Amino acid sequence: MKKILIIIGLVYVWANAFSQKTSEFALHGRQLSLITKNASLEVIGTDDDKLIIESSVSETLPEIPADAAGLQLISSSIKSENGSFTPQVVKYDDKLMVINIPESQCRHYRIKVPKGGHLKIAFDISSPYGKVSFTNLSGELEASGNAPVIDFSYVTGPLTLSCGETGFSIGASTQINISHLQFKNTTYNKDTPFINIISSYADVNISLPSNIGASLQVDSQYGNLYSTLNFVTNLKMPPVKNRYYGLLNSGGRVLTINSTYGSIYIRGEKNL
Amino acid sequence: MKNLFFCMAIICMHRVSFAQTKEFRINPSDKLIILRLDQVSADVVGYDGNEVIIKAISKTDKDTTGLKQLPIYGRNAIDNIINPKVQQVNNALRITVPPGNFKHLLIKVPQQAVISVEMLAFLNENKLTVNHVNEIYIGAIVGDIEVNDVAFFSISSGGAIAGRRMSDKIVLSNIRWSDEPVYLNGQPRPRIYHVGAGSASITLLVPDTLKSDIFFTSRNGRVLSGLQTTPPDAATDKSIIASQFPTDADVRHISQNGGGIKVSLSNDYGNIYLKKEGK
Repeated sequence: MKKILIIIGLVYVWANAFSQKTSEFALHGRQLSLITKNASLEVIGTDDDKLIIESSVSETLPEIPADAAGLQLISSSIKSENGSFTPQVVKYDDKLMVINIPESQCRHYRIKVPKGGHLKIAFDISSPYGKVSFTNLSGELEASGNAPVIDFSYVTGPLTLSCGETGFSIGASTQINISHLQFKNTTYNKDTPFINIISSYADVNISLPSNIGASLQVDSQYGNLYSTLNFVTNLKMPPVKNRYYGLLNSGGRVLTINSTYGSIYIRGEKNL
Repeated sequence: MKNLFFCMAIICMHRVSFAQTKEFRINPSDKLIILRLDQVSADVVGYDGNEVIIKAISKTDKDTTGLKQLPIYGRNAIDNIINPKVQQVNNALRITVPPGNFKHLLIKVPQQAVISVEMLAFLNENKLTVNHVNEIYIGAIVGDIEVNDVAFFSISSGGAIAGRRMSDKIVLSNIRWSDEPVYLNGQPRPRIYHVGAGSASITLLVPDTLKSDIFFTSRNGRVLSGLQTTPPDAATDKSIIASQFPTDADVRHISQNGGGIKVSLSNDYGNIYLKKEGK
């Protein structure tokens, strides 16, 4: 019995020796692929060539609505967090670094990445309180997975968001918000959509300056499409059931959105 | 053999009736009415009458002020025409309303009827409200569920459809609490008010004079209470635990005013709120 306890103790110490609250990886221009599970993510582009992963415990508590104020907490199954995690380098070669961050006692990460790099990221959040956000990214961004809320701001594209292939236990995305898109990317390929969103259930909110040129393609079987901007139906395109083709200011960068059960809201924001 | 199939087909056609209408009415001979709804919001309201009346109504589920709707090709204009199918199933009348060119249903039911709503509605804005009915059984995946002024509720929200974030909010208020047995297939059963949810938060309003035992588990959430109850302890009533909760649930129990009426609440994600109901 004593031996078993000692072994368990040693395993625990060994496991904790590798868990940490901040991790840094030098990328040297490599493409980065991140795989995460059941954790909120705040992905920020920086001028560094490093990947920095930081845990943040304080931001993970579920929100309690204002009308529940004054109620007393009588039971909680919120799992305790200590903010530690153990990232695993799954692949590392001249061109690519793949890092897996397994489910751990940390459920919120701030991830700083080189802003101009090619980033692939997978996530999957069961909790209804989770959120994933991306900001200040000027390289190609390929995101896949499900989270209640997914935000993109100040991204240059091309941006791809898909539902992901991994089995998710509870939910799909509910809300996807895109704002402050950066239209001044001179290196984009005209055939590559600026943004390409594929979602089953999420409502998609996009803010666009009213003076930019954009070519819009929306597919939704049950959702609706609304806008405050002066989109004109593109009659040159062949009609496809449950699809809308529209042009803003005679067209331009291509935006494609496919959300079977979600509605799409396109609003104006400050002109460029 | 061919004749047999032909006869069976005729019998089936006779048992299932169809209607294409703006307002559907039927006078049910059974107390149990099963409503099957698909990709629509609905208000189910009890009234002092004998008929079930179903009508599609124009009602905006979400505020779209300042937004212009752009035309998605292939969509038909809203005509609010419904096409219900009616079937006699054992001792119940089942009314199925397939999706159509409408977004919201108003369903009036006899206030003494027992209503079962089976519903799949995947838009985030979809909502089910139930008001002023006797007994309500709900099995639904829908954005929000509100139940008000009913004598009994049993709600399951969530289920086997992967990918949908189940329901968001389930709110229960003005319940006409009772400890009389409920009758299922003519057999009396203990009256246990029940909500089992996937990712929905559950809000239950309870008068502070009610004698009640509340059993609950929130697998990944919190339980917050404004009731004057005993401190939570591990539930020991095995009949309730076995019949109302997942097998591996950590079921807790509180009682108000010495206990009495039984309520079971469970969810996987989302909080549970127990609030004192105003007079």
